Amino acid sequence: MENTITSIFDMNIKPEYLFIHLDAVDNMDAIKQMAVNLAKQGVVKNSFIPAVLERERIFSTGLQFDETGIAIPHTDTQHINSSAISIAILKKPVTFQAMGMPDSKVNVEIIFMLAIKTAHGHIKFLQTLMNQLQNKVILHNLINSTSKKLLINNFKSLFNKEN
Amino acid sequence: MKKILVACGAGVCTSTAVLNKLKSILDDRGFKGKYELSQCKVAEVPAKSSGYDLCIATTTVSEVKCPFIMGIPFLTGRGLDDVIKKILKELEK
Repeated sequence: MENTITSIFDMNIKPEYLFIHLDAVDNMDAIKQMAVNLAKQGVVKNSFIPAVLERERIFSTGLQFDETGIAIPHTDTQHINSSAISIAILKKPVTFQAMGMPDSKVNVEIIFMLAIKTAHGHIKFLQTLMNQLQNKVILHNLINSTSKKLLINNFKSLFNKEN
Repeated sequence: MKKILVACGAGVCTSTAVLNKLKSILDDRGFKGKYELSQCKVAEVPAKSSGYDLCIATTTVSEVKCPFIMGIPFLTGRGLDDVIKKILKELEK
């Protein structure tokens, strides 16, 4: 496996930030496991862990796409050491509250945890990510990645056309 | 000049994604130079929104003092056409 760090529009990604079939009892458990890992990797400060959990309680991040749901937990820039993205494909879906719709729930199969160090930065990354995830085939392929190597390659390919 | 405020929980992530998509859509529809976009945290909306013609957010907001439109479709693409129609209607007022 390539263990080198890759930067996509200044957002770092590497195999250590990825989870294939993460076993989580619920959304908060999934977020916690991902946040603890990012802290261990030095991407975020320890304060990120309670901050991202609290942020999710107040401003939930589930997004319903045509065939599946995703979540994009994130929090304030002060908890971040370096901008990065962590991705978890879940062993079984967990329920998130829908972003902006407190009464709606989303069945989430894949979580994109965003560690953003620069406010209003990473515009091209965020824009491309959200545009590409609206494509059913692309999202399906990401969720069905069976190894970290495949996931990282599938993820990188989202940004190829835009480079 | 119409002033549009784009807000999200942290003011760093989803509002950025919404803002850029909105900008490209408005420019495509011939509104270039006829609007001004600003970005803030949703907690700042009660204090800031009175000076704006339209507020778009990816969370629910309370005490918004200008017309408000939910911006989630900018992230998911679902229902985006309806949201764009509503926004254009506000801008044409």
